[in-house]
Amino acid sequence: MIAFLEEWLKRRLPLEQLDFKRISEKSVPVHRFSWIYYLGGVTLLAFAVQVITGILLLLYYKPTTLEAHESIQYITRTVPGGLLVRNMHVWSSNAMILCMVLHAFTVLLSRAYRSPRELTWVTGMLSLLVVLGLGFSGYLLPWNNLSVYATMVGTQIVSMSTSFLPGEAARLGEWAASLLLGGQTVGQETLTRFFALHIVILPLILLALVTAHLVLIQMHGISVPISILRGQGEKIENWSGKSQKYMPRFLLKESAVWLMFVAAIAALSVVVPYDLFVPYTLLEPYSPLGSAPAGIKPEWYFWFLFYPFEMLPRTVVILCSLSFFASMLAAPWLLSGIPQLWKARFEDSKFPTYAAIAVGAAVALLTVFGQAIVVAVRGGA
Amino acid sequence: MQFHDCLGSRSNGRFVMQLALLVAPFAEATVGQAAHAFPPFERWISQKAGFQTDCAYCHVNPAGPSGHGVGQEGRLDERQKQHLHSADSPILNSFGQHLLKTLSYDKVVSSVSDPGSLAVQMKGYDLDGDGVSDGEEMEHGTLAYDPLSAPPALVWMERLKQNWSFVVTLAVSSLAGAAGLFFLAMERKDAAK
Repeated sequence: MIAFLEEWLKRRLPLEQLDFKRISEKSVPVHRFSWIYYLGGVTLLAFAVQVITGILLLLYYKPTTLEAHESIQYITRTVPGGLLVRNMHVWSSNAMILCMVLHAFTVLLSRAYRSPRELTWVTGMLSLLVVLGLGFSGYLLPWNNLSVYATMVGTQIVSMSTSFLPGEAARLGEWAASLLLGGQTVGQETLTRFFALHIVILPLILLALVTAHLVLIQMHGISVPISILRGQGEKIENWSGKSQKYMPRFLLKESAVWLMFVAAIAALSVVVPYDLFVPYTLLEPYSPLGSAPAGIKPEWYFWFLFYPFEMLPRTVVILCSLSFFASMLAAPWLLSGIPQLWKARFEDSKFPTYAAIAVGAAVALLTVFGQAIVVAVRGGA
Repeated sequence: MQFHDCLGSRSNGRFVMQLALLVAPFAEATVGQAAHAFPPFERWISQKAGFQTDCAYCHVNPAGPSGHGVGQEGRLDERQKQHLHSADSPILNSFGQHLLKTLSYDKVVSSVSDPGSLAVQMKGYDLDGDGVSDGEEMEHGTLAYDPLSAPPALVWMERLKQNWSFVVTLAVSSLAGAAGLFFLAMERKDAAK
């Protein structure tokens, strides 16, 4: 058993291949789907933009319930370049999540998660979860009606998330929610905790995961879609087609894409500030004595959960959501194991492709339905 | 679970406001000036915009002029109360004051029965200079006194005009930079297998 584990780990963590001096020898396969290799880099760049703009926002943001909203208004309206920096932070966070989701989907479709790259997939999925956590924690910081009421709903969901478990375990969710809230309801303690989560704890976890992800890519090299490998007619383990050097050829091309990305985000930030898309009543400073305005909604990347929560019993939704996230983490093993049930080879089976398309379509459809609910709630107010 | 179960609902207070509108002239005659919010305006804007707006569209306080909060009657001294219906009314925000300055108090009040006519009359003005007229902003439920609150589809061209030098410089320099990097990459001879 130990020998098996040792062999398994040795294959997935070939530390002897981790020689950063050989980074100049790293190559990137060239084929008709080569564009997918830019998605990971753009995600990484968006993370860098987040860090830089986040540090700049920190110079003026005040994480207290009395000053948070005012300080955000000060940054946006008074600080030179404040509108640009704040909106670059918001727009690039959205772009980062979109790129991450697309990156995960292309990895699923191209079966790049296959052995020995399972851990690369797992670190990527964990990074996506952390980024969603960053989005959730950052939503509260402006301390307006939208952010506070959305956080109330979010922490209620966390509180109920383990209610289906037996005995004392059912209270785990409540414990987690009170840990997040720091009290009975959203207040100064919550803001302090979300601030700490958003600027220190989650970014450090993300940095560790991204580093592990990059190290694993360096160890295993860049994967080629299985459909392309099948086309070469030889053994599908090795790519025998054309490749290009990462340094400097691919890096130069990637830099061109990065430049365009930053320019697009900067232009978008100035021409269409993000707050234009939010009704002004939701952007008013939160008052504990006021009532909730209609139209409170999560960010678009949570809409796929928003729709089921509106339509189905909460226990069903929580169980389905937990199963979904667990399945996504275990996707490399599930998608390669399930075809073996009918004695098909993973490489030849169509099942992993259909499963990837089904997951992508389900998430996209639920997101669209979630948007429809947002519009209905807003209109029906 | 309904996502909004935990959230309270905002009462439109229609009955209370109708009663207030009936009683107000008599009260005003006996005790002096009194401030009114006009729910028909709020309802019309909400209906046109597709979401529930509040009194902050014209008033300082989102809850309206009655009460003891910031921008509400209870906080005003006698001198300030004399200006309730004037263009520098302390209970109105800059758009509310702009309305009175542009159209007069009586004209605004007479539009209560047809709030749409107020938007039509304000189509020739643009208080915040964001390129979208006050009337259009009323129809979209965006704040007419705030340049950072406007319908994105209408305002993006105006914002592009306002920031054209930044956007053009950005576009030209990034396109030139990207093209340079791309051609540099294509020139490398190390693209072999």
